[in-house]
Amino acid sequence: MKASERYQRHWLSFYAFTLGLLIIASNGLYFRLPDYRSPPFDFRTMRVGDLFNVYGLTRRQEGSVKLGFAETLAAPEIGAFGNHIIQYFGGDAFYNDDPNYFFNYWYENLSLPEIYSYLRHLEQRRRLPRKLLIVQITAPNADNGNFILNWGNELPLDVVLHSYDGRASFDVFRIADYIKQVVDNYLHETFNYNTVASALFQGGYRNRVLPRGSCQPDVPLWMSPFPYGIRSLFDSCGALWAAYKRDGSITESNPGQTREAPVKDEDPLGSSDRGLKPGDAFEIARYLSVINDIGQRNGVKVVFIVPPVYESDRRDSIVNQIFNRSLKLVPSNITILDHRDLGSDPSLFQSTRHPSLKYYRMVATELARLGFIKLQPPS
Amino acid sequence: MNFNSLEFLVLFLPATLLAFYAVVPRLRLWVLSVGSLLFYGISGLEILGAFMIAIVWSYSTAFLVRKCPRWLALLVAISCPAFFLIMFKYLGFILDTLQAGPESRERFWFFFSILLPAGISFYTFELISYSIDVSDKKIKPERNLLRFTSFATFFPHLIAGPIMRYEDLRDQLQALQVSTILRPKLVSGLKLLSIGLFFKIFVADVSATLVLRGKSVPLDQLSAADQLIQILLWSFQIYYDFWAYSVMAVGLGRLFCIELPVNFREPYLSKNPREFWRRWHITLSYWLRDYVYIRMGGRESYVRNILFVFALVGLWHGAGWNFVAWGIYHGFLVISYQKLQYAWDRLPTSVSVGITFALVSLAWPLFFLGLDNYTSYLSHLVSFKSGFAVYGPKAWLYVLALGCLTFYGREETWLYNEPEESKSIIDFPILLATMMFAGLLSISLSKTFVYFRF
Repeated sequence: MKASERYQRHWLSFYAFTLGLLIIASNGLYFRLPDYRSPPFDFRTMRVGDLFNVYGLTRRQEGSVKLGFAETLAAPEIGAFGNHIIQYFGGDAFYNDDPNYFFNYWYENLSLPEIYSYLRHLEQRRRLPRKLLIVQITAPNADNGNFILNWGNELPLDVVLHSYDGRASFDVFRIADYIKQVVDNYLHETFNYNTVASALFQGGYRNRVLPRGSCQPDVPLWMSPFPYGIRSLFDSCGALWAAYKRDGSITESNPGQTREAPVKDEDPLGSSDRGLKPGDAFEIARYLSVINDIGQRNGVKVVFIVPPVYESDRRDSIVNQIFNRSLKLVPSNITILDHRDLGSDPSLFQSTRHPSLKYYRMVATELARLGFIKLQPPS
Repeated sequence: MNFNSLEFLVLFLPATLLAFYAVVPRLRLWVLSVGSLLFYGISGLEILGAFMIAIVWSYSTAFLVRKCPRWLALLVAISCPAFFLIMFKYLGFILDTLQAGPESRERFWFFFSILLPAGISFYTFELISYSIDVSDKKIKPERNLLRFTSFATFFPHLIAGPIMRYEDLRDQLQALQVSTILRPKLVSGLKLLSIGLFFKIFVADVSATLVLRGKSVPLDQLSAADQLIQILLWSFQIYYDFWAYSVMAVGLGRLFCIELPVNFREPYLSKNPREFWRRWHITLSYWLRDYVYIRMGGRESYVRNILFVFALVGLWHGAGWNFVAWGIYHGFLVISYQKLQYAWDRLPTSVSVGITFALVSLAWPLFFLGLDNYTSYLSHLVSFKSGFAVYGPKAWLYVLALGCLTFYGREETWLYNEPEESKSIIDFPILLATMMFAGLLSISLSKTFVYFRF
């Protein structure tokens, strides 16, 4: 054997051994992370003003706190399903923050196929909201068409697989898509700095429910260059930004910190990273129909909302046009509150893509006007 | 699929490598071609279809080019890939320039609605160069469709170059089909892959994040010092983004026993604008020199030809007047250097390098800002507003560190060296494996390669 070949063999052995060891270790750490689905946390035990601190939890863990509650305990009158866009949608929009009345089931990056999975899972568990499902669709201009159909891969695999509907008709592309999502789901959670760091340093569960205002808002300055996931681990509770209220929504802002003004047109609409393509119009319409069917067969009304994004007049964007085409394909008995035209009013936004309480009060008023709910503002 | 994705690094690459080394020699190109088409097609079947049509068209018309009248046949040969390039990339720009109404756009809805095919400018130029080289009788038309497909689709160079010519790859691809024993450069391949990924995430993407910090503040609040640091960050972001991609591409090529040309040769060490274009995106510069500049007459009508070629460089990068302006700006720099060469070449090296870097960096914001916004940006810069509104000492230190690496690190000593003879810590497999692992863990923070959209 030549010296160069011997060198290459040694070098590759060391490289493969080191990388393999690190990957095995990170996978091991992933399995060490506590899952908050079981035993479930009961949001109804929280007092008014209490917050559930999610600092230091991975996104999947954050979601699992709500999933455990949703699949075993919750059955509110009204449930909101969607992604981070509706994170500020709380019971205060209805002047009622009792989790038995309204609960926000939002998960960080859910798209329509995943919301369908989530609802099918709850349907199988007989834990759907009792009167009204509000399903949020990401406005096309909010993320250049992403997270309408593109999966966020944050739901646990069993929830995704429960709802697999490809068995009824053999569709190669749908099966391939499911396999891809299952693999992505695993990869994105295990090869993740946040998962590894959380598994190494995560604190306990018992002290996570805190009264609002009990924490100091300051984040140590030296930590500021680190990503949020890392920062949050060392920031004992630092601030309660992103903490859950008892209705599943999050606090409007970090106590003690000034609110950042929304940035107009924050997300560019470039053609290379567009999240929708022409055939997607049919797929969106199909998902709206099957989600609506879940409600119908369980006697629960379904309303879809398309919240606005803070922007200039970009209604002619390609992703908007594809979305418009999908809305034309939807049967007329499906209710869609399309608020894309409200994007120019900054007072409706907590931040660029996240509408504020003022917007959700408008939604609640509209729902009442359409006869879906009875709204009783305090006199 | 992108090089900085888990699907690519954890699934696609190991599977393709295993299959490539497991099959008999005559099947290796099948593995590469099918793998590359999968790599490309995962972004959409429409763009894969267009790509395959362009490949088959170029392959078939090459025989026509040899038999029919030269210009007509060549026109036919390049018409298909050029058509796709124009329709997918430039249609919006053309209609905007012609101020076409919504009815005209509706007619072209199909092209508008399709995702911009990744790397379309790269593979179109490769296919066009093949047709021209056949027409010029530099090469014979390739009879083996599989080999030609492997040339066009080979995934390491597919999305963001280097822009290959058929004669660069023909013999290497042929060797893969017949050699029973392969001698891949696995060590340097993995080294380049690990370093490329690490720099993409921890240098290019961190710089991009810092740039955004400045962009989130209204322009009138930025001080001149903030703008200066932002321009430098843009400069390092785009350089290390493209550099990292190119380093990864060379490394991936080596894993499959294909030697791809180096597309960067420390461009920020250039002493003048002309040299810059011989060090930055080298394969594009040489493509334009050989197929456009020389054919237009080269030094005859120098100013006209240079401005035309650089306007083309701008347009190649993006369908917008900001890109055209960026190209013409570089054209003027090259012409200015030509006029001032006598004095310029007598400047001390550090001064000429500094001037060239400053002139090049000043134009990078055009890549990210529209023409109007760029003009406002420059006007605000020259108002010399004092203070440090956004970027503090940490950002300055970061830029300083990057500057040291860029201007004092020599790639032939740490990157393109012979690992066997090296005692450098950067060649230690444990360090490189850790860099790869850090990259894999942090991929969720990574952004799409800037050149991906070209």
